[in-house]
Amino acid sequence: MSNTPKIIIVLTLITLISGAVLALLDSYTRPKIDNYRKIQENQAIAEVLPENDRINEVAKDGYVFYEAYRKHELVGVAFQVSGGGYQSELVLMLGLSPDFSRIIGLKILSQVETPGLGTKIEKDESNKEDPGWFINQFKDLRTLPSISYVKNASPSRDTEIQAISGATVSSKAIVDILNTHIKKAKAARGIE
Amino acid sequence: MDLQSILIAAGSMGGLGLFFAAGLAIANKKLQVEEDPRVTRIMEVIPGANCGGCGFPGCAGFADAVVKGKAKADGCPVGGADVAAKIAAIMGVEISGGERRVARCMCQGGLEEIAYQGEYLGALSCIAATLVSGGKKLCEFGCLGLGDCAAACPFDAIKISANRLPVVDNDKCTGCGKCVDVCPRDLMHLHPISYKVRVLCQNHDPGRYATKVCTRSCIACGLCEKKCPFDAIHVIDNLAVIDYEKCKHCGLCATVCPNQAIEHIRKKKIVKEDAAAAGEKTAVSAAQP
Amino acid sequence: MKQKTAIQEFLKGLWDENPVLVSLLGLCPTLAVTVSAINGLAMGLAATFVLLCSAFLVSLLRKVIPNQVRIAAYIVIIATFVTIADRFLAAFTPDISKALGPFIPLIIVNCIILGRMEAFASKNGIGRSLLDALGMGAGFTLTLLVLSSIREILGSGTWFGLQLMWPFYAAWKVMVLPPGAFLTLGCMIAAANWINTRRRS
Repeated sequence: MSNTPKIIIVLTLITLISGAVLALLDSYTRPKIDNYRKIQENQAIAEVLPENDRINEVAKDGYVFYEAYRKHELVGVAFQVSGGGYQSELVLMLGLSPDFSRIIGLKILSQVETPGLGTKIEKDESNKEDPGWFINQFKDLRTLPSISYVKNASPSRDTEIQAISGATVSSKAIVDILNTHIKKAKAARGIE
Repeated sequence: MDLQSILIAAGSMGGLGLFFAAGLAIANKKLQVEEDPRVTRIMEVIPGANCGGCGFPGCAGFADAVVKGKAKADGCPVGGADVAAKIAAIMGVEISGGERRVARCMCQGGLEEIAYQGEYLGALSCIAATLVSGGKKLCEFGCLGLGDCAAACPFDAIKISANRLPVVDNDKCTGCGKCVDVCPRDLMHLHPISYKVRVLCQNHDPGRYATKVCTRSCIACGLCEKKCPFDAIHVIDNLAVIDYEKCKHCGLCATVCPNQAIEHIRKKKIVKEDAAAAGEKTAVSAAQP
Repeated sequence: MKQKTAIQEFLKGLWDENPVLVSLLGLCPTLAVTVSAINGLAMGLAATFVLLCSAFLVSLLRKVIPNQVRIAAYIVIIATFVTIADRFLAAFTPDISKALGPFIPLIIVNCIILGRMEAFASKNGIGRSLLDALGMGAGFTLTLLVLSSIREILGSGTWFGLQLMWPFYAAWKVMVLPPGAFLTLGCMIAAANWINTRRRS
């Protein structure tokens, strides 16, 4: 059959046009998407760091550290960490005291956990007064020697948090992510 | 975004497209010879639902089988007559000459004609009856009358008459052969619609037994064989068999058969019976469980 | 076969040839994303958008695309529109985009879309193809909406995020988990079959 040139021309043209259209689309949407991501990130950084007058961005060993200064004194460091949750990747923004011994704040940037169970790590609708009780537990939590979780009980030590019943895996995942990344980031920043 | 990145995106996609298109084109050229172009043309006229009603794996399988001569042009039960005509046109005249075939039950042993071996109270299915005892009728070859063929018919063309025999509606029958496959006694046969003469009995027992089990059985007397001017009917293994290569459908054999086991469509009696059965079908289908 | 009227061409996708309830196509997104009504609706609309655009192009190009490369060409066309839908969702409704996760890109290999292209749009004119795509898309969206509404109401006690059940309603957690999707879909297919059987007899 003599439709060989037709096959080549048609398929090439279709892919060519598709590539061009997608490139145009990308140029149109990328700023919007990046912008949204940046806003989210900045919001998160502001939430997990103490009051400051300047934020310095330092990249080292795969981490981007956001250093918060108040009157030229380092008051906190924030960085993004991520790891596997129950069924999705958890992306967190973590704010620590300069010596990494205390968590100042923790915010979840993205998670697609089981609705109604794992999603309680971000927002627990059954708790009307404090839907963010789980994530708020990390505020002022001590990181040394390591963070741990307890089930169905109130935490007794200052390095403990209470896991969500029915979503232990998601709770544990966050604790694990924090422990590994705090250790790694410490090494990256040369903190003993 | 600048022009350069658009060019990169379009170029890489286009390059991929060019590469694969070239690959496909080469493959098309190298591997092309095997397929008969008629397969593609048949694929274009059949419905393409891949229902499997023809008994082949999907529409492509059917098209292939038609071209290879393994399936008939009218083998697609969904497409019906016009699709069959189109396929026949693609395949050429010799198959389009093939006539429309319809199913016919090769047994006349209804409730009135048959002798009984006992009562059958099992599931109302011919296959179930075959498995346990062969139903209540004494004849081992005859119709069980429990309607598996009617249930299998996708076109609603088979009705069970009051006499509990299947009656085929020739207008609705597409010759798909589903009833042929389902009948445990192989009584449903597909015949070209122009056939006028049929031996409506499958009993291979010697005459003295055959005559006991059914008043309409072939008793292998051989009168038809003697009467036929064309040497077209012979008693083989205690059963009269018509050689349709020679048969001229004159119906002389039917006139001499003592048990009227041979049907001749021009005979008024058969026509009346069919009509009566058709009239009764509403009553019967309502009575059926 | 008898030519369908324009209305019938559209309506067949809603019920008689409903892609999910009758053809059981596109089950991956159907089962996975329908945890909340908004997700179901968004997935349905995204798929409908892709279906409509691809049907238009495929139908337009049906005489140009050689038979040998039609699947490759359809996939490229579909993938392009899916990427468009994905990027637009990410740019304008980031929350939904996040919730649907990888299932928007997976529309590319959704059987409903490729199936309709192959079985319908590649053989019919633009008008009919668009009607068919619209009907199929509407059928898919409605089915997903019903399925996700049932799951959200029973599983979380809310509908589109609104508190619907009484305050102390004990949510059936299983409904938002994967088994809930199968249970609900099974019941819906059973109901559809029951209605069809009753209607026929």
